[in-house]
Amino acid sequence: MSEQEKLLYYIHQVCFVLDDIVLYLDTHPTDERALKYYEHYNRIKMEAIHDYSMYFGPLTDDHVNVENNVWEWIVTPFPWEMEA
Amino acid sequence: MWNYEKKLQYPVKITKTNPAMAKLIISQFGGPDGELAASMRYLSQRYTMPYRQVAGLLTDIGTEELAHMEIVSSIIYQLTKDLTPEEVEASGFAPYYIDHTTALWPQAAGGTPFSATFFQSKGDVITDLTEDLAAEQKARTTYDNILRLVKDPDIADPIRFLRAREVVHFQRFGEAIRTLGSTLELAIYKALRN
Repeated sequence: MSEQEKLLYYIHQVCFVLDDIVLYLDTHPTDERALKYYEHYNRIKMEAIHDYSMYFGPLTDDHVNVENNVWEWIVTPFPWEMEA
Repeated sequence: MWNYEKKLQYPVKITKTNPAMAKLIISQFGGPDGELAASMRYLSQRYTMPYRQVAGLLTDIGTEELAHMEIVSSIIYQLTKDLTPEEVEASGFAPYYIDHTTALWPQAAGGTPFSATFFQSKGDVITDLTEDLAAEQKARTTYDNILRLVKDPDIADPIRFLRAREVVHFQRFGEAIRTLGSTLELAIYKALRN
């Protein structure tokens, strides 16, 4: 696996973990362990997405690096393409 | 307000095209128990929910269903990539191809176009949550049916993920309806007293 594939795989896992805990918290809003779990992984997710955007291209449109003078949001592949 | 993340919730990497399979899996995109129907159901119901806990759950699951719709669409896209006319005819994909080429269009496997009649948004907490419990089971059964017919592990893998999520959603809706139970009984009791 390339560094990009490794980081993207890691981001897939962290994002999924958060998607799941958000639903759990919707029905268990005072569960302290779940709240801490959310806080921990949310911080990791934000750092990972920021790092990925810096080196490999944006995952969200508020993380687009304009240093190369091109709108990279539409340069990198979309996730249904095989190269993604 | 919705944001978009340029990744699938679960990766889809299908190397072998299979338009016959795409013809069936499309039900989970535009069919009666598919992801688009699920998403529209939950996102429509949430406005009139008197409890933020339920409005929140419907918002978050409704949003996740859009992500699932994207996964199903990606599966269909990869299964029908670069088809030859011979492959189109041999697979039974031709009727869809005539009207849509290999573009994605929400319909059921049998050809019924997507319709709001596939879901209800009834404005009663118990009614809507009960509808939602049924919806998750219908989706799960549809995935079971697909899994019985899929042979390619690259297809089965994301399908199995989607099926597992339906089971979790069912669990969450169950919890919502259960925690409401006592609140609603109290409200009904008070209303009847007056």
